[in-house]
Amino acid sequence: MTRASLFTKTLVLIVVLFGIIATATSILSGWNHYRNLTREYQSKGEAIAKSIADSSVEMLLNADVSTIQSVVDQFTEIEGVSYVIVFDGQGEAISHTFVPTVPGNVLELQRQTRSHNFNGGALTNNLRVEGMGDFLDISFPILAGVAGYVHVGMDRSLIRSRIWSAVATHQWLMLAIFLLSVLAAYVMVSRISRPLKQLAAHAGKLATQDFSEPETRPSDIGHLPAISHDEVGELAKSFINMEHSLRQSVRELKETTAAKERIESELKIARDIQMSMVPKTFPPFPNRSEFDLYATLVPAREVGGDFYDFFFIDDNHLCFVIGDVSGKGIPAALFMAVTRTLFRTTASKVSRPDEILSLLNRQLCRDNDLCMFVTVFCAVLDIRTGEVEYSNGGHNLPYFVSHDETKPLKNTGGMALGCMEDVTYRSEKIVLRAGDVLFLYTDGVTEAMDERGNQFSEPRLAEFLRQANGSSATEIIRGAVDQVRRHSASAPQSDDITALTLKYLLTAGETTSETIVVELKNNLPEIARLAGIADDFGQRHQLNAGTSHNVKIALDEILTNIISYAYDDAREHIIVIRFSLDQGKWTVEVEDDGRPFNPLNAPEPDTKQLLEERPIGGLGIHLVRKLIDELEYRRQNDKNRLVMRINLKGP
Amino acid sequence: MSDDRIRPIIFLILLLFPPERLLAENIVIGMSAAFTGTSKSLGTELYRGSMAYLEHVNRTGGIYGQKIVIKAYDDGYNPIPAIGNTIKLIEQDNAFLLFNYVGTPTVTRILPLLKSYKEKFVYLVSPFTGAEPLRQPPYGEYVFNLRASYRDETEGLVDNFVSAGRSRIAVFYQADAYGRSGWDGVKKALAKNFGLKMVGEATYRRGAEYSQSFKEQVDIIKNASADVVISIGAYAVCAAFIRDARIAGLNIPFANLSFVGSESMAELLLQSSRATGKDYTKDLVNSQVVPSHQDTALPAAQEYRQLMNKYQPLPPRDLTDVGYAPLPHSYVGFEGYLNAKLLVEVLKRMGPGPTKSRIKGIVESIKSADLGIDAPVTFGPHKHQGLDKVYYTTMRGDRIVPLSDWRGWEK
Repeated sequence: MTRASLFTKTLVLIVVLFGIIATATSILSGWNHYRNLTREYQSKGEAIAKSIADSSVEMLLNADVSTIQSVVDQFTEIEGVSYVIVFDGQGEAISHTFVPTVPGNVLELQRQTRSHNFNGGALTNNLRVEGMGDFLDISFPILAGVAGYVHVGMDRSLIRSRIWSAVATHQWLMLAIFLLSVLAAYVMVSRISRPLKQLAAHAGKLATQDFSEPETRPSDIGHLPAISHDEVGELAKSFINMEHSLRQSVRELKETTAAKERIESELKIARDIQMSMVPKTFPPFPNRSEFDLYATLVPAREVGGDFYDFFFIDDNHLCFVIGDVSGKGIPAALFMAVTRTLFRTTASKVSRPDEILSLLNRQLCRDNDLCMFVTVFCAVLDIRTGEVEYSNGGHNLPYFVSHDETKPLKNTGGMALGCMEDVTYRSEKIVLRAGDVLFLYTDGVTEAMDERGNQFSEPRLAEFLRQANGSSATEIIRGAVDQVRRHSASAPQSDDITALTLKYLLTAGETTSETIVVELKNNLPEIARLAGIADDFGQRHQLNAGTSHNVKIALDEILTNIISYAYDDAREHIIVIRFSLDQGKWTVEVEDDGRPFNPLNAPEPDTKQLLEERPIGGLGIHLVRKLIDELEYRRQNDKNRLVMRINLKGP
Repeated sequence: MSDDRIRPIIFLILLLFPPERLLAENIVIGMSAAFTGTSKSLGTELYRGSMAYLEHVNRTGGIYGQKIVIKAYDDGYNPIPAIGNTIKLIEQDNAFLLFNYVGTPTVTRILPLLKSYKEKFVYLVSPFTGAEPLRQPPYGEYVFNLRASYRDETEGLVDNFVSAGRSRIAVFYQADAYGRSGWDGVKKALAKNFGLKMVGEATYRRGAEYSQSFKEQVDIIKNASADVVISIGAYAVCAAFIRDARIAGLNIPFANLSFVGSESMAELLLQSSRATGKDYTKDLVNSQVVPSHQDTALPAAQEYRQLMNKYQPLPPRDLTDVGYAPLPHSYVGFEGYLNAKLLVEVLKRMGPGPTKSRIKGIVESIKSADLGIDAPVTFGPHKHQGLDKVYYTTMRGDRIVPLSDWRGWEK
């Protein structure tokens, strides 16, 4: 097929070329022959005519025409001479070789040429005689025309036949060359196409060849580069190289695939472990209407080690947690499983989040040779009050979303679990009101990247949550995941996406007083801020202005004391103040982590003493006692906790 | 001197001069003529006629003891072989003279040879042609003609026909020097004596045969409205031309020159007549350069018939054409006979030991010699043609008879 079409194309080319060459050279050769032969015949005819004319002079004068005839006859024996005719001075034919008679147009020609001035030369005319053919008529005067004229007819058909024979010879030669060329082309094309055919056949076989198998026998085109030092050889070389590369790639691919499959199965195991560890049934507590909880875990292809969990510690306290184990794959999954199991165990032993984390940390640190760690956010909700106590172990701070604000929770400053055994975790509290939402998430949400490497980011999450205010927990989670996915678009998910939303709901018919939690730093200007908050609280609850005033003065005294004397270091400390209304009483709780001090034990002030000599706080406590109806002090968790209650009198 | 002494001397003499050579060296006469081809009867009959007389001479003592031998070659009526034969006869056969050559195109071509062999004194005696070049300069001096010229023949024919009222004369001729010679004769005779021109002319190519058609030529003549045709050709073609003319309905007289060989032509026509039942021999006139061999009043005619019958000479042995039947007697043969008589006359006049150089002088000295016919033969330094009388014959049935009364063709 290759040879055939290649050869056909070559053949067509040769035929066309030879056709052109043969035609052109034939025309040229024919024309050359015609010109040369005509010239030759003409000069031959001229010589004969002249010769007859010269020798006829005397004979004409002797009036012996038979001798002239005899001379004339001799010339007709010369090849190409068709006729000779001699006219006398009167224009009468006196000798000729025509049979049966002199054609009319020869006589006519003679009449015409008599007036011609020969000037010593001959005159050539083309003459066609019916029944005889075409001639070159060459006329020559005898004695300048006085004695007559000689006409010699040269046969043009002879010229023609000689041209044809020359052209025929030429064409035979061309044909021979043509056949030789065709033969040469055939050999050439065969020599080129044979390796091409081998290559084509080889390429055809490539498709069915098993490249995963090592080469069992030498390649059947292996010899081509050695014998063809041309493009075909190059092609064969490329082919062989390609085949080698292909074989190697396939081998590598096979190995990679096997490894991948192994990893994939490992990943599946890891995913299975991970997914089996998190609760997936929602709503989790159908008989509880105080809150709405929804969570999701979208595992990445390679498991990231995220987890979440929630469970009731007792009837009124819901514990919920979210965590992220360092590393990926099976180790992460296993560590996550361990963490999650330990977490449940721990939560059954201690109930406060900070305690849970501390204990959990110690347990994780034990025998953690790989030094894997896990970030954990843990919180406990009092479903009756909406109070949430939480502690953070290096995890992303969850967002608090209320009808008027969206913000991350206050940090508790703890580090990831599993690294250092002697780490203390603190807890914070926040009181949820109806409709408030806590959104817990892992870095898989905020760090999800689009194709250009842009992260989803916290501002974008915050914005989403602001917009999603009022939605159910399920809607928030699904919306968030949807947003993240939309952001990532086709970019692969690199980390688990885990989120947990808790929405606190006000139970119908049950009034729950408002609690405001205020955190202050240990500097005096903060006291003014607190006073503003207290005023707001009083106004909002339409409390007696005097009462508010008294509360403010009491807080001023207590906090001034704490800020001024409670701390032995110069570091920043947080003082938590909680305002709440409960059974006709305004309760203000002050909690600080200063040195233990019970203001209730302070002696009654000696008002007569000089101000400078009085013991510290003495006068302030005295005033507080007068302003506040009930005072209660407790040292708990290394914190001073002072509870003040004022009976409400109406506005 | 005793016999013993003489014997070795005689023996020695005989050894050096063998008797034959000593006694009778043949006189070799060279001849080149048509023994084959369409004009073969001319050469053959001419040779036979001559041989009848030479045989007689040789048998009756020869020329002073020398026998006359004719060395004959065939040229087939073609110029080139004629030239070759002539050179061979001169160089190789050392011919004493050239004799009985046949044909105008052949003889006109060997004339320059005679001139170039001038030092060897090569002469051509009694050629069988009436062409002018043999009778005129520059070659006329090397040729001795016995017969009248074509010009004489044509002039006679023209005179007689025109006198009989047939002045529209056309010429049918061989396209060569012979034809041209006759053509020229007719032309000149018409112009000189009557101020006329020939009304038509047609040619044919030498070597044409009796079987060929000459309708083209007949048409030309017919279209010319000629009332007589003079043919200058070989007997086969002239006969074919007459045949075709008669077939075409051209019923005018046809005249032929002596060259046709009347008997040969008559035989062809009579054969065709017998085959077709048509009379092809009517209205034929032949001019002759010798008198009728049937005219018993002429001693030569008697001798000729007698010697022919006696010796019945054969053609040259190596030139015998298998299919040719020799004529018993003929005008051509009679001419050959007379040629031989002239030759013998010349040789006799030379005396014993003839030499070539003396030929010219001897021949030119012949005055009013009697060859046994009705005209004397006279040569001279400016007269190289022995006879100039022209005779006419016609056909009566299948016989050739002398023609004396032209009134039959009067118009």
